[in-house]
Amino acid sequence: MGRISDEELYELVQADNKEALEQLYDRYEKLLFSFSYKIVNTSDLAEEAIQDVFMKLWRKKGIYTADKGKFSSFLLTVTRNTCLDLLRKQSKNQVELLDKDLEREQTESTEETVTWNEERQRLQEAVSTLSSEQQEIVQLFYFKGCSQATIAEKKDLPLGTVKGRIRLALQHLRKVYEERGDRIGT
Amino acid sequence: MERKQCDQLLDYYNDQLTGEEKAAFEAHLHSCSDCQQEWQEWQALTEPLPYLSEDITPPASMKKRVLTNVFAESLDQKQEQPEQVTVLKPKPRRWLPSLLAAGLLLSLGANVYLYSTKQTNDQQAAPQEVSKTAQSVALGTVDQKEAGGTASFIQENQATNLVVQMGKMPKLSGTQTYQVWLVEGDKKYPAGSFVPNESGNGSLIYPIHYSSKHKWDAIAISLEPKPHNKQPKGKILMLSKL
Repeated sequence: MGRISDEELYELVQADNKEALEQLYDRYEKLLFSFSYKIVNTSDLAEEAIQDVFMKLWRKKGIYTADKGKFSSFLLTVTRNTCLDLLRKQSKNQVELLDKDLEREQTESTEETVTWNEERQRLQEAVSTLSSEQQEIVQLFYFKGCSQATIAEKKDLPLGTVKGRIRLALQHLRKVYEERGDRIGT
Repeated sequence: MERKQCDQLLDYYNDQLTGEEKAAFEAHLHSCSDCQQEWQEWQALTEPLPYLSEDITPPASMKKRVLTNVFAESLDQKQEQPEQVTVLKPKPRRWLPSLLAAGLLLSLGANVYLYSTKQTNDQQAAPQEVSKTAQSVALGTVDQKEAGGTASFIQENQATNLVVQMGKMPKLSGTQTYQVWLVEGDKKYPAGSFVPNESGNGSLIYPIHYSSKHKWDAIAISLEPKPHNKQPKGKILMLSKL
Protein backbone atom coordinates (compact mmCIF):
# COMPACT_ATOMS: atom_id res chain seq x y z
CA MET A 1 0.00 0.00 0.00
CA GLY A 2 1.44 3.27 -1.05
CA ARG A 3 0.08 6.59 0.20
CA ILE A 4 1.50 8.07 3.29
CA SER A 5 2.98 5.10 5.04
CA ASP A 6 1.25 3.51 8.01
CA GLU A 7 4.32 4.20 10.06
CA GLU A 8 4.20 7.91 9.21
CA LEU A 9 0.53 8.01 10.13
CA TYR A 10 1.24 6.32 13.42
CA GLU A 11 3.87 8.97 14.20
CA LEU A 12 1.13 11.55 13.81
CA VAL A 13 -1.28 9.50 15.92
CA GLN A 14 1.26 9.64 18.70
CA ALA A 15 0.97 13.39 18.59
CA ASP A 16 -2.81 13.27 18.99
CA ASN A 17 -3.60 13.80 15.33
CA LYS A 18 -7.15 12.51 14.99
CA GLU A 19 -7.14 12.61 11.22
CA ALA A 20 -4.17 10.28 11.12
CA LEU A 21 -5.98 7.79 13.32
CA GLU A 22 -9.03 8.11 11.10
CA GLN A 23 -6.90 7.40 8.04
CA LEU A 24 -5.48 4.29 9.66
CA TYR A 25 -9.01 3.30 10.60
CA ASP A 26 -10.21 3.73 7.02
CA ARG A 27 -7.33 1.67 5.71
CA TYR A 28 -7.75 -1.23 8.08
CA GLU A 29 -11.42 -1.26 9.09
CA LYS A 30 -12.42 -3.96 6.66
CA LEU A 31 -9.41 -6.21 7.12
CA LEU A 32 -9.53 -5.98 10.91
CA PHE A 33 -13.27 -6.52 10.98
CA SER A 34 -13.05 -9.55 8.70
CA PHE A 35 -10.16 -10.99 10.66
CA SER A 36 -11.86 -10.35 14.01
CA TYR A 37 -15.06 -11.87 12.73
CA LYS A 38 -13.20 -15.00 11.74
CA ILE A 39 -11.96 -15.37 15.32
CA VAL A 40 -14.93 -14.24 17.41
CA ASN A 41 -17.76 -15.15 15.02
CA THR A 42 -20.09 -12.33 15.93
CA SER A 43 -20.35 -8.86 14.56
CA ASP A 44 -20.76 -7.32 18.02
CA LEU A 45 -17.62 -8.86 19.42
CA ALA A 46 -15.67 -8.03 16.27
CA GLU A 47 -16.66 -4.40 16.68
CA GLU A 48 -15.72 -4.49 20.36
CA ALA A 49 -12.33 -5.86 19.42
CA ILE A 50 -11.75 -3.14 16.85
CA GLN A 51 -12.73 -0.48 19.32
CA ASP A 52 -10.27 -1.91 21.85
CA VAL A 53 -7.52 -1.97 19.25
CA PHE A 54 -8.03 1.65 18.22
CA MET A 55 -8.35 2.66 21.85
CA LYS A 56 -4.93 1.12 22.43
CA LEU A 57 -3.46 2.87 19.40
CA TRP A 58 -4.86 6.20 20.54
CA ARG A 59 -4.16 6.01 24.25
CA LYS A 60 -1.09 3.88 24.70
CA LYS A 61 1.47 6.09 23.12
CA GLY A 62 4.50 4.23 21.91
CA ILE A 63 2.68 0.90 21.69
CA TYR A 64 4.20 0.47 18.24
CA THR A 65 7.84 0.98 17.40
CA ALA A 66 9.64 0.19 14.17
CA ASP A 67 11.54 -2.68 15.79
CA LYS A 68 8.23 -4.54 16.01
CA GLY A 69 8.26 -4.99 12.25
CA LYS A 70 5.68 -3.79 9.75
CA PHE A 71 2.88 -1.74 11.24
CA SER A 72 0.26 -3.88 9.51
CA SER A 73 1.64 -7.09 11.05
CA PHE A 74 1.78 -5.44 14.44
CA LEU A 75 -1.82 -4.25 14.08
CA LEU A 76 -3.01 -7.72 13.10
CA THR A 77 -1.19 -9.27 16.04
CA VAL A 78 -2.77 -6.81 18.47
CA THR A 79 -6.16 -7.50 16.90
CA ARG A 80 -5.73 -11.23 17.22
CA ASN A 81 -4.69 -10.97 20.87
CA THR A 82 -7.62 -8.67 21.62
CA CYS A 83 -10.04 -11.06 19.92
CA LEU A 84 -8.69 -14.10 21.75
CA ASP A 85 -8.95 -12.22 25.00
CA LEU A 86 -12.58 -11.31 24.30
CA LEU A 87 -13.29 -14.87 23.28
CA ARG A 88 -11.94 -16.17 26.59
CA LYS A 89 -13.90 -13.69 28.66
CA GLN A 90 -16.90 -14.67 26.63
CA SER A 91 -16.56 -18.37 27.29
CA LYS A 92 -15.85 -17.71 30.96
CA ASN A 93 -19.19 -15.98 31.23
CA GLN A 94 -20.76 -18.88 29.42
CA VAL A 95 -22.78 -16.52 27.34
CA GLU A 96 -23.58 -17.56 23.85
CA LEU A 97 -24.08 -14.52 21.72
CA LEU A 98 -26.14 -14.99 18.65
CA ASP A 99 -25.00 -12.88 15.81
CA LYS A 100 -27.44 -10.39 14.50
CA ASP A 101 -27.72 -10.23 10.77
CA LEU A 102 -24.72 -8.48 9.45
CA GLU A 103 -25.50 -5.35 7.64
CA ARG A 104 -24.27 -6.52 4.34
CA GLU A 105 -24.83 -3.41 2.33
CA GLN A 106 -21.92 -3.19 -0.01
CA THR A 107 -19.92 -0.13 0.69
CA GLU A 108 -17.50 0.85 -1.99
CA SER A 109 -13.92 0.15 -1.18
CA THR A 110 -11.98 3.30 -1.66
CA GLU A 111 -8.42 3.27 -2.89
CA GLU A 112 -7.37 3.83 0.69
CA THR A 113 -8.81 0.54 1.92
CA VAL A 114 -6.51 -2.40 2.32
CA THR A 115 -7.73 -5.29 0.18
CA TRP A 116 -6.40 -8.82 0.25
CA ASN A 117 -8.34 -10.85 -2.33
CA GLU A 118 -5.29 -12.12 -4.07
CA GLU A 119 -3.57 -13.14 -0.83
CA ARG A 120 -6.71 -14.86 0.38
CA GLN A 121 -7.08 -16.86 -2.79
CA ARG A 122 -3.49 -17.98 -2.67
CA LEU A 123 -3.78 -18.86 1.01
CA GLN A 124 -7.01 -20.77 0.53
CA GLU A 125 -5.40 -22.77 -2.23
CA ALA A 126 -2.46 -23.44 0.05
CA VAL A 127 -4.77 -24.49 2.89
CA SER A 128 -6.56 -26.91 0.59
CA THR A 129 -3.27 -28.77 0.16
CA LEU A 130 -3.17 -29.49 3.92
CA SER A 131 -4.80 -32.58 5.36
CA SER A 132 -8.03 -31.94 7.20
CA GLU A 133 -6.29 -32.70 10.49
CA GLN A 134 -3.63 -30.11 9.70
CA GLN A 135 -6.31 -27.59 8.80
CA GLU A 136 -8.04 -28.17 12.12
CA ILE A 137 -4.81 -27.83 14.03
CA VAL A 138 -4.08 -24.49 12.37
CA GLN A 139 -7.62 -23.37 13.13
CA LEU A 140 -7.36 -24.36 16.81
CA PHE A 141 -3.92 -22.90 17.27
CA TYR A 142 -4.15 -19.65 15.36
CA PHE A 143 -7.79 -18.71 15.09
CA LYS A 144 -8.95 -20.09 18.43
CA GLY A 145 -5.75 -19.51 20.39
CA CYS A 146 -5.88 -22.92 22.08
CA SER A 147 -3.06 -24.12 24.33
CA GLN A 148 -0.92 -27.04 23.23
CA ALA A 149 -2.61 -29.18 25.89
CA THR A 150 -6.08 -28.35 24.54
CA ILE A 151 -5.03 -29.16 21.01
CA ALA A 152 -3.48 -32.43 22.15
CA GLU A 153 -6.69 -33.34 23.91
CA LYS A 154 -9.01 -32.35 21.08
CA LYS A 155 -6.96 -34.06 18.40
CA ASP A 156 -5.97 -37.00 20.58
CA LEU A 157 -2.26 -36.38 20.11
CA PRO A 158 0.66 -36.78 22.50
CA LEU A 159 1.37 -33.33 23.98
CA GLY A 160 4.99 -33.43 22.86
CA THR A 161 4.04 -33.70 19.19
CA VAL A 162 1.64 -30.77 18.98
CA LYS A 163 4.21 -28.07 18.33
CA GLY A 164 5.90 -30.10 15.62
CA ARG A 165 2.59 -30.67 13.88
CA ILE A 166 1.59 -27.04 13.92
CA ARG A 167 5.00 -26.03 12.65
CA LEU A 168 4.91 -28.57 9.84
CA ALA A 169 1.46 -27.42 8.75
CA LEU A 170 2.42 -23.74 8.81
CA GLN A 171 5.70 -24.33 7.03
CA HIS A 172 3.90 -26.21 4.29
CA LEU A 173 1.26 -23.50 4.08
CA ARG A 174 3.81 -20.77 3.78
CA LYS A 175 5.82 -22.64 1.18
CA VAL A 176 2.83 -23.24 -1.09
CA TYR A 177 1.61 -19.70 -0.52
CA GLU A 178 4.93 -18.24 -1.54
CA GLU A 179 5.31 -20.51 -4.56
CA ARG A 180 1.93 -19.43 -5.86
CA GLY A 181 2.88 -15.84 -5.30
CA ASP A 182 5.96 -16.33 -7.44
CA ARG A 183 3.89 -17.94 -10.14
CA ILE A 184 1.53 -15.00 -10.29
CA GLY A 185 4.65 -12.95 -10.54
CA THR A 186 3.74 -10.23 -8.09
CA MET B 1 13.71 -27.15 33.76
CA GLU B 2 15.21 -25.10 30.95
CA ARG B 3 13.75 -27.39 28.34
CA LYS B 4 10.36 -27.14 29.95
CA GLN B 5 10.41 -23.36 29.68
CA CYS B 6 11.28 -23.51 26.00
CA ASP B 7 8.27 -25.77 25.54
CA GLN B 8 6.02 -23.01 26.78
CA LEU B 9 6.74 -20.74 23.86
CA LEU B 10 3.58 -21.54 21.94
CA ASP B 11 1.39 -21.21 24.98
CA TYR B 12 3.00 -17.86 25.60
CA TYR B 13 2.32 -16.95 21.99
CA ASN B 14 -1.36 -17.72 22.57
CA ASP B 15 -1.36 -16.00 25.96
CA GLN B 16 -2.26 -19.23 27.70
CA LEU B 17 0.15 -18.93 30.61
CA THR B 18 -0.89 -17.82 34.08
CA GLY B 19 0.49 -14.54 35.41
CA GLU B 20 3.38 -16.21 37.20
CA GLU B 21 4.27 -18.53 34.34
CA LYS B 22 4.08 -15.65 31.94
CA ALA B 23 6.49 -13.50 33.92
CA ALA B 24 8.87 -16.43 34.27
CA PHE B 25 8.69 -17.17 30.58
CA GLU B 26 9.30 -13.56 29.62
CA ALA B 27 12.42 -13.55 31.77
CA HIS B 28 13.48 -16.79 30.11
CA LEU B 29 12.79 -15.45 26.61
CA HIS B 30 14.99 -12.52 27.38
CA SER B 31 17.98 -14.75 27.96
CA CYS B 32 17.35 -17.75 25.68
CA SER B 33 18.56 -17.16 22.17
CA ASP B 34 16.93 -20.37 20.92
CA CYS B 35 13.55 -19.12 22.04
CA GLN B 36 14.16 -15.69 20.59
CA GLN B 37 14.95 -17.26 17.25
CA GLU B 38 11.96 -19.53 17.49
CA TRP B 39 9.76 -16.63 18.39
CA GLN B 40 10.79 -14.88 15.18
CA GLU B 41 10.08 -18.07 13.29
CA TRP B 42 6.53 -18.28 14.62
CA GLN B 43 5.92 -14.65 13.85
CA ALA B 44 7.00 -15.27 10.27
CA LEU B 45 5.02 -18.50 9.94
CA THR B 46 1.80 -16.91 11.14
CA GLU B 47 2.19 -13.58 9.38
CA PRO B 48 0.05 -14.40 6.31
CA LEU B 49 -2.75 -16.13 8.25
CA PRO B 50 -5.00 -13.10 8.91
CA TYR B 51 -5.40 -12.78 5.15
CA LEU B 52 -7.30 -16.06 5.13
CA SER B 53 -10.28 -14.15 6.49
CA GLU B 54 -13.30 -13.86 4.24
CA ASP B 55 -13.90 -10.31 3.14
CA ILE B 56 -16.75 -8.99 5.30
CA THR B 57 -18.17 -5.51 5.04
CA PRO B 58 -18.38 -3.94 8.49
CA PRO B 59 -21.63 -2.29 9.60
CA ALA B 60 -21.84 1.13 8.00
CA SER B 61 -22.29 2.88 11.32
CA MET B 62 -19.36 1.18 13.00
CA LYS B 63 -16.76 3.78 12.14
CA LYS B 64 -18.73 6.56 13.79
CA ARG B 65 -19.35 4.53 16.93
CA VAL B 66 -15.78 3.38 17.30
CA LEU B 67 -14.07 6.69 16.64
CA THR B 68 -16.56 8.60 18.77
CA ASN B 69 -15.84 6.28 21.68
CA VAL B 70 -12.10 6.40 21.16
CA PHE B 71 -11.97 10.18 21.00
CA ALA B 72 -14.53 10.63 23.78
CA GLU B 73 -12.33 8.58 26.04
CA SER B 74 -9.36 10.79 25.33
CA LEU B 75 -11.49 13.87 26.00
CA ASP B 76 -12.35 12.48 29.42
CA GLN B 77 -8.70 11.94 30.11
CA LYS B 78 -7.83 15.44 29.11
CA GLN B 79 -10.55 16.87 31.27
CA GLU B 80 -9.12 15.12 34.27
CA GLN B 81 -5.93 17.04 33.90
CA PRO B 82 -7.01 20.37 32.48
CA GLU B 83 -4.67 21.90 30.02
CA GLN B 84 -4.57 25.44 28.91
CA VAL B 85 -6.53 25.74 25.73
CA THR B 86 -4.40 27.17 23.02
CA VAL B 87 -6.03 29.50 20.61
CA LEU B 88 -4.21 28.54 17.50
CA LYS B 89 -4.65 24.82 17.77
CA PRO B 90 -6.96 24.13 14.89
CA LYS B 91 -9.77 21.65 14.73
CA PRO B 92 -9.43 19.32 11.81
CA ARG B 93 -11.04 20.43 8.56
CA ARG B 94 -12.56 23.51 10.01
CA TRP B 95 -11.88 26.83 8.45
CA LEU B 96 -10.31 29.18 10.92
CA PRO B 97 -10.39 32.73 9.74
CA SER B 98 -7.54 34.58 11.34
CA LEU B 99 -6.18 38.04 11.23
CA LEU B 100 -3.09 36.63 9.70
CA ALA B 101 -5.06 34.98 6.96
CA ALA B 102 -7.08 38.08 6.28
CA GLY B 103 -3.97 40.22 6.10
CA LEU B 104 -2.26 37.85 3.78
CA LEU B 105 -5.17 37.38 1.46
CA LEU B 106 -5.67 41.11 1.20
CA SER B 107 -2.07 41.40 0.28
CA LEU B 108 -2.77 39.22 -2.71
CA GLY B 109 -4.42 42.31 -4.12
CA ALA B 110 -7.72 40.68 -4.77
CA ASN B 111 -11.01 40.76 -3.03
CA VAL B 112 -11.44 37.41 -1.55
CA TYR B 113 -14.46 35.24 -1.51
CA LEU B 114 -13.99 32.75 1.24
CA TYR B 115 -16.12 29.83 1.89
CA SER B 116 -15.81 26.68 3.78
CA THR B 117 -16.79 23.55 2.01
CA LYS B 118 -17.74 22.03 5.33
CA GLN B 119 -19.75 24.79 6.84
CA THR B 120 -21.11 26.38 3.69
CA ASN B 121 -21.69 29.66 5.41
CA ASP B 122 -20.18 31.84 2.80
CA GLN B 123 -18.81 35.14 3.73
CA GLN B 124 -19.22 37.62 0.96
CA ALA B 125 -16.47 40.12 0.44
CA ALA B 126 -16.68 43.06 -1.87
CA PRO B 127 -17.70 42.23 -5.45
CA GLN B 128 -15.38 42.87 -8.39
CA GLU B 129 -12.79 40.25 -9.18
CA VAL B 130 -13.36 37.21 -7.10
CA SER B 131 -10.85 34.66 -5.87
CA LYS B 132 -12.28 31.45 -4.63
CA THR B 133 -10.96 29.48 -1.75
CA ALA B 134 -11.60 26.12 -3.27
CA GLN B 135 -10.52 24.22 -0.24
CA SER B 136 -9.11 25.03 3.12
CA VAL B 137 -7.76 22.76 5.80
CA ALA B 138 -6.41 23.27 9.26
CA LEU B 139 -2.89 22.12 10.07
CA GLY B 140 -1.81 21.02 13.52
CA THR B 141 1.61 19.87 14.60
CA VAL B 142 2.99 16.75 16.07
CA ASP B 143 5.24 17.93 18.84
CA GLN B 144 4.49 21.56 19.41
CA LYS B 145 0.86 21.49 20.37
CA GLU B 146 0.33 25.24 20.17
CA ALA B 147 1.55 25.53 16.61
CA GLY B 148 -0.98 25.40 13.84
CA GLY B 149 -2.54 27.22 10.96
CA THR B 150 -4.31 26.74 7.69
CA ALA B 151 -3.66 25.78 4.13
CA SER B 152 -5.97 27.11 1.43
CA PHE B 153 -6.22 26.52 -2.26
CA ILE B 154 -7.14 29.80 -3.88
CA GLN B 155 -8.36 29.82 -7.44
CA GLU B 156 -7.87 32.93 -9.44
CA ASN B 157 -7.88 33.33 -13.21
CA GLN B 158 -7.69 29.60 -13.73
CA ALA B 159 -4.54 29.36 -11.65
CA THR B 160 -4.45 27.84 -8.21
CA ASN B 161 -2.30 29.22 -5.45
CA LEU B 162 -1.63 27.34 -2.29
CA VAL B 163 -1.61 29.69 0.66
CA VAL B 164 -0.20 28.37 3.92
CA GLN B 165 -0.27 30.43 7.09
CA MET B 166 1.20 29.06 10.27
CA GLY B 167 1.51 30.49 13.72
CA LYS B 168 3.64 29.68 16.75
CA MET B 169 6.00 27.51 14.77
CA PRO B 170 9.09 26.40 16.68
CA LYS B 171 12.23 28.36 15.89
CA LEU B 172 14.63 26.99 13.34
CA SER B 173 18.37 26.97 13.38
CA GLY B 174 20.99 27.17 10.65
CA THR B 175 19.65 26.24 7.24
CA GLN B 176 16.60 24.45 8.64
CA THR B 177 13.39 25.18 6.79
CA TYR B 178 9.79 24.14 6.91
CA GLN B 179 8.75 22.62 3.63
CA VAL B 180 5.23 22.06 2.39
CA TRP B 181 4.27 18.96 0.42
CA LEU B 182 1.28 18.01 -1.66
CA VAL B 183 0.67 14.34 -1.27
CA GLU B 184 -0.86 12.16 -3.93
CA GLY B 185 -0.83 8.44 -3.28
CA ASP B 186 2.63 7.62 -2.04
CA LYS B 187 4.19 10.54 -3.87
CA LYS B 188 5.04 13.82 -2.28
CA TYR B 189 5.38 16.94 -4.41
CA PRO B 190 7.26 19.95 -3.09
CA ALA B 191 5.07 23.01 -2.57
CA GLY B 192 7.42 25.62 -1.21
CA SER B 193 9.56 26.28 1.82
CA PHE B 194 9.26 28.89 4.54
CA VAL B 195 11.02 30.14 7.61
CA PRO B 196 8.89 31.68 10.34
CA ASN B 197 9.65 35.12 11.80
CA GLU B 198 10.72 35.88 15.36
CA SER B 199 7.24 35.40 16.73
CA GLY B 200 6.83 32.07 14.99
CA ASN B 201 4.51 33.20 12.20
CA GLY B 202 5.28 31.88 8.78
CA SER B 203 3.42 32.16 5.48
CA LEU B 204 3.79 30.93 2.00
CA ILE B 205 2.12 31.45 -1.34
CA TYR B 206 2.86 28.71 -3.80
CA PRO B 207 1.52 28.81 -7.36
CA ILE B 208 0.60 25.21 -8.07
CA HIS B 209 2.16 24.46 -11.42
CA TYR B 210 1.44 20.75 -11.30
CA SER B 211 -1.16 19.47 -13.75
CA SER B 212 -4.76 19.90 -12.64
CA LYS B 213 -5.12 16.17 -13.17
CA HIS B 214 -3.44 15.58 -9.83
CA LYS B 215 -5.82 14.59 -7.12
CA TRP B 216 -4.19 15.65 -3.88
CA ASP B 217 -4.86 13.41 -0.93
CA ALA B 218 -3.21 15.43 1.75
CA ILE B 219 -0.97 18.33 2.58
CA ALA B 220 2.01 17.91 4.81
CA ILE B 221 4.71 20.05 6.38
CA SER B 222 8.13 18.70 7.19
CA LEU B 223 11.12 20.08 9.00
CA GLU B 224 13.99 19.97 6.53
CA PRO B 225 17.69 20.40 7.17
CA LYS B 226 17.89 22.52 4.00
CA PRO B 227 15.30 24.29 1.83
CA HIS B 228 13.88 23.16 -1.49
CA ASN B 229 14.23 19.43 -1.30
CA LYS B 230 12.72 17.30 -4.03
CA GLN B 231 11.59 14.73 -1.47
CA PRO B 232 11.18 15.10 2.27
CA LYS B 233 14.37 14.28 4.12
CA GLY B 234 13.27 15.51 7.50
CA LYS B 235 10.47 14.55 9.80
CA ILE B 236 6.88 15.16 8.77
CA LEU B 237 5.41 17.42 11.41
CA MET B 238 1.93 17.99 10.14
CA LEU B 239 -0.49 16.24 7.92
CA SER B 240 -4.03 17.06 6.92
CA LYS B 241 -6.21 15.05 4.63
CA LEU B 242 -7.75 16.98 1.76
